[in-house]
Amino acid sequence: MRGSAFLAAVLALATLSSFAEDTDIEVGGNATVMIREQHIFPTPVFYAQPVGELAFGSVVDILDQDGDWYSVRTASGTTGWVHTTSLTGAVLSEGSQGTDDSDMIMLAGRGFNSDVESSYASGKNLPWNEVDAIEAITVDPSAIQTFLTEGLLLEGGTQ
Amino acid sequence: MTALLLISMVAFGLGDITDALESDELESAVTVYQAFDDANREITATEEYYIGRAVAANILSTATPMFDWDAVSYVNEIGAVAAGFSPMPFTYGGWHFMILDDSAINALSCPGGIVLLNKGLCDLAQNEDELAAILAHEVAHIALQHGIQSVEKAKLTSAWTTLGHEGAQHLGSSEVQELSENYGDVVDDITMNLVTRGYSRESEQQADSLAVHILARAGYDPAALASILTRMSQLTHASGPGFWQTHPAPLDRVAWVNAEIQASSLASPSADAVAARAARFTERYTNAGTTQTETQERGTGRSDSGRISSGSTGTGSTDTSSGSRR
Repeated sequence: MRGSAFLAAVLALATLSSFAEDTDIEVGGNATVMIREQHIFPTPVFYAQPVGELAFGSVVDILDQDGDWYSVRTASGTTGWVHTTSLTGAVLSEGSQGTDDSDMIMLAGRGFNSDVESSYASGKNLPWNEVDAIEAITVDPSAIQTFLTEGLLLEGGTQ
Repeated sequence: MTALLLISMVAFGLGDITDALESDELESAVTVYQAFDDANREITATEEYYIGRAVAANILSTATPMFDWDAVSYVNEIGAVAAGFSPMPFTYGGWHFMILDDSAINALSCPGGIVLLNKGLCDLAQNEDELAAILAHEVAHIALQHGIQSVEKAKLTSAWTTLGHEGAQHLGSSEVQELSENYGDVVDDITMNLVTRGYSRESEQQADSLAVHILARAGYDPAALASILTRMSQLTHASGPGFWQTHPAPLDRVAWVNAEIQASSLASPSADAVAARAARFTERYTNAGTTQTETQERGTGRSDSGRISSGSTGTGSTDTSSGSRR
């Protein structure tokens, strides 16, 4: 009986925890940005000229959904569109930092992070400056739109 | 957390279970559950980013990136389009593409969004659509998280067990050291899989299938992937380490690429569109290639080998009218 009760307790904890870790994004609810620097777009496409920026951890109101894109309102009142891969329905609050959900772990800064990278890097002669330089190469969304137009792209696309 | 979960169990009518166990047994049940949960959690976007950075650093330790070449900006624009039309248009640290000064036919996709392409592979492309096909395949590997999935599960489990419920900043120095060793094991595993072992045949087929859909959504010719694979199959030096060791035979891939295009009825672009991009490819890649030596000779904080000098970042001249360094 005790063995069964023990197993039942573990399974019950797993079930209860799964209820607590619902990170789905819902219209009318909140979501958190999980991208280091996220553009807010005026329309739900990645190549539109951004109307604003959001930092990692910013919490936004979810106003609407169009496929994989969500219409959001920021704390400062800016509205625009953000892709679902940039958002999590998890919202960090006091007491939630110890939960086991992956998105909560990320928002709390736990897991593999810069501290772990620094520890790993010490004593190794790896070209981190080259990695940083590669990460510094970016393409502006308006440049992408020009690139698409000049290359007659999208015209025959299935988008 | 134990108290919270036990209160929840009672609240959900599971009081009989808690009544049947002593308090230390309940504590033990919570510990078992937490260990199970820690060991089976998904990797996070930020962890994928930090793993990808270390994989890239290890690859770059034996490779020379071509920072100053104008073609790098061109490749980043094509890559941004490919990534934008993938299921993962945004990653924690963004998408970044770099050409390596290596004539071997190969490309390596690091988790999180850094794609490293050998010049030898880029030079095999005869037009923009074929170059886009190469990039779309690498983007697909990252979007499908093939690198992370190739890690031996036990290595991730070991890291999560070390972490427990704490962040690295709350761990003792010996635990951070242990965690960085776990991190190193994961990085080594992915690097070995990329460079030596290769992904599974199934993963390569998935990446090719997704690539043709990315190309079609953007307006590129999905058949460009088949055409560059066919050219690879005709190379007389198609053997040895690297790409030939880590990828299925090109003609096998051509067969499944064509089957996917046909099954999904993916259309080819207009002749005018192909011509416009072919002209752009000549101007921004083929002709840019002839100026590569001049660019290196100008020197921007690099050694003679073209590698950025130790400690100098942002010294290259990657800025163009369309691409820029942050």
